[in-house]
Amino acid sequence: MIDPQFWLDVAALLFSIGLYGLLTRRSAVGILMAVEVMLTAAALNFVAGGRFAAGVMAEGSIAAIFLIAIAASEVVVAMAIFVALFRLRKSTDVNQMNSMKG
Amino acid sequence: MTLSTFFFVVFSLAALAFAVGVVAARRLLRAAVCLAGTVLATAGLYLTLRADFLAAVQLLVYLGGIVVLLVFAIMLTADTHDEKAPLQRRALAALAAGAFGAVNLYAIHGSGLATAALRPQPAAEFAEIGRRLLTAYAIPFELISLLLLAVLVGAIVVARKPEETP
Repeated sequence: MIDPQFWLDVAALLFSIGLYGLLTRRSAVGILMAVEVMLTAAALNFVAGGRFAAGVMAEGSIAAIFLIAIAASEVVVAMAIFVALFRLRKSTDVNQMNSMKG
Repeated sequence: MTLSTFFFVVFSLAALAFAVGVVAARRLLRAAVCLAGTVLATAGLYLTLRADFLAAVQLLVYLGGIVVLLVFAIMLTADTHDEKAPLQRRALAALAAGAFGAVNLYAIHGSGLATAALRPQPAAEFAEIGRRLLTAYAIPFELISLLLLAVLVGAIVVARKPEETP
């Protein structure tokens, strides 16, 4: 049996790795993938919490299912925006997205 | 070392290694493959946590849907290569992420979880998850379906060619 804190450790490390990617990626698709890693870490926390707290095993799974659904919607909308943006700009480098800068 | 400890170590190391690949790979397709690896390893972790249904959902939706969609996004935008960020930015990002992770680990190990001696609870049955989704969590469940519909329509509107707009 693995103690609960090790599950949370893995989730925290996954989240930190995703955060690093979020801050360093220049391509929007790369940023989106880093966000997916962070969401996976959050879902892992839910499931580990459900496993070790009394009477909420189903809730852990349900929260993670909602999270996966929201992650899927996020990717769909982001992909639509990237496609539209790429048609306009021929690039998805976030450093060049400064046309709203005053 | 019990079997579940073995699986935990293998899957978590795999998840972390693939996650490093996701953020570090210069070629985005390679990063997407690494993301698929992270998703697979996380599904293994869910199985180790006895969340069988969630592992299946993870494989179907994440691997079959999201990762494939990301590969489409890479190909549609012909955005296959990501330049390295400047050293200063990488150092700052590593500092921020490292500090965040360190605070988290410190909080987790100082929280008393380590001494709480929590026992794993019996696994939830599929039927239990389904019943709760349609009774106690019926409203969030319907809201999610509404969200998916809005996303479906919104994605089409955003992504279609400008000259097609009336």
